[in-house]
Amino acid sequence: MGLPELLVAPFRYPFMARGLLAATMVGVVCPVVGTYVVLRGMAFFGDALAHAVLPGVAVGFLTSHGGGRRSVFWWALGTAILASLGIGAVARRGRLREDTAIGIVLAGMFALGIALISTVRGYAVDLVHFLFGNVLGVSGGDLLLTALLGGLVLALVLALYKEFLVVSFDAILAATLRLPVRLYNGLLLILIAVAVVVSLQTVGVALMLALLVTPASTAYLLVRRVPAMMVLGAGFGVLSGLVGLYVSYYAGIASGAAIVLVATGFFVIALFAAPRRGLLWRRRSN
Amino acid sequence: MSASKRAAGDTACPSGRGPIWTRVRRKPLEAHVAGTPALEVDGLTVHYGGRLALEGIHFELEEGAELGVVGPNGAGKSTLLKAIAGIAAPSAGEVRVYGHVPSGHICIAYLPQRSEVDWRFPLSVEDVVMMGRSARLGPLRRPGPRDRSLVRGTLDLVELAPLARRSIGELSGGEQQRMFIARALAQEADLVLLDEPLAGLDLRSQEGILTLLSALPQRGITLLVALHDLGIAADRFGKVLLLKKSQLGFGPPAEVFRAEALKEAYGASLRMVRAEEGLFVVSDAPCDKETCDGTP
Repeated sequence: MGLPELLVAPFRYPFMARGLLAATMVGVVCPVVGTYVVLRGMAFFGDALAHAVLPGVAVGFLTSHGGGRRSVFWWALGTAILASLGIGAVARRGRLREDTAIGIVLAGMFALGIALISTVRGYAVDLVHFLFGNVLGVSGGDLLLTALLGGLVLALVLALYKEFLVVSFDAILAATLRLPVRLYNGLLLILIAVAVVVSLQTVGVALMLALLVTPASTAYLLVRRVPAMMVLGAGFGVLSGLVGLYVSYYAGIASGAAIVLVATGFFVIALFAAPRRGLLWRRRSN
Repeated sequence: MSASKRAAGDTACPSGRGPIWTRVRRKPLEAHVAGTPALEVDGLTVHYGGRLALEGIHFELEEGAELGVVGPNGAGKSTLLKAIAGIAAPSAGEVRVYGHVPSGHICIAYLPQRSEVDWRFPLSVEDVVMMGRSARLGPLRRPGPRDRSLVRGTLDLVELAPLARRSIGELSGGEQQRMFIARALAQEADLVLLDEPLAGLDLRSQEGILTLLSALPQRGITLLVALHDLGIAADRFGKVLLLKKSQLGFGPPAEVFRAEALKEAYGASLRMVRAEEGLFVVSDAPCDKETCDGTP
């Protein structure tokens, strides 16, 4: 079997082809939104959001009797938006540090999710599915929904690029320019929430954070402008999805884990080899 | 010069250009009321995090005035600047900029302390200066030729044009401060508030910033500069405000910097010597906390 054959073979299966499409779309959307997660230091928030989605997933799963993925999707989206706004409210009202508020919401929501799923017999199987994702189980309908919502997220990030940048870099400047800072911050949280839910099936709750921060961070090591970071991050995201699916197919590894491992691999290479900032480069110039 | 802020002929802050959907704001922006002072602060009291930060501040500045704001750490210098910028709400009294509350203006520039900025952000000098344009552009609009020429002009003025594409993390302290001044000019600000612009800079960079600032009033810009160096305030500013939560003095430095007032503001950390030429102030501490560890 030659190389071209090796590369084409996995995608002869329709479920693999659908998986590839899903991983590609998610690979673009997550690093673009993730650029702000990285630059604003919101990694913990992103992780919390992914975990906080679980009760929504559980309710969607239970109310549709384990059938409708569509219902799981909308419940998860509602929960994610609620959680992202809830974290901000807890931090403000309780005069707590934001990471404390995030921790409380994360753990509480995650526990609620596990409690709900545990009411179903044989829950361990379902739980694993939600925790680690199943990109190979993506349906045509899922793809359409991912494309629509992912496209919406990208369109908003592009349209409000200037505003999100000011609000993220210098909140005081944004305030003196009389931009509605809280509106833009809230909108950004919602965009992150949508990206999380759209990606849920690809890598699952537990590994979601990797898609948000790893490809964007890899790009951060290599370029020095925000738009370049988004584009290159999306490149790493797509490549991680593609290579990850090959690894999953040929090595028999869980697809979500394979995608994240490949993304991490790219990051490690960049960490050592990035021009000027990489560890190798510094060693040589010393 | 293309950077001349009067080039466009719009003396009032707000700009109402562009189609209606780009003009959506929560509140309409105020035009300047002719004949009013650039800044009036009237009985201003501010609580910050539940604690009293400023009390009964009262002064007025004409257009083109330069005010040095001095006082010990925690005297409320930053809070005063934030209240004037319209981003900290007064609990009593009021601030009027050209006759209106500051929150209706986009012509107030607040330059943060350098230690408050995330210098790892992947931005070029040009990107940061262009941020000053974003309010005038409004949502959904991209910078046009006028915005770009204004940004180039202001970078020329602060002598950063050769570094326009440099990453902000690679700038020296003085260059970082000049970049923020360029941003205030790009914003077409009429009132510029600087929070400790000289902190952590070497003497040559300090001199460069002071020279640059002294050129602003002739453009009709009113300056408020929070400082910790009483000598610079006395030598370089027409008026000073001595703060320690309340106002201990406002006016020309020679009138404000008197032994009693300084002692009240700084307490035991100041030693004073009377000499032939006037009052000499000698500080016990080689630097105050702000300048030592760079954190506010």
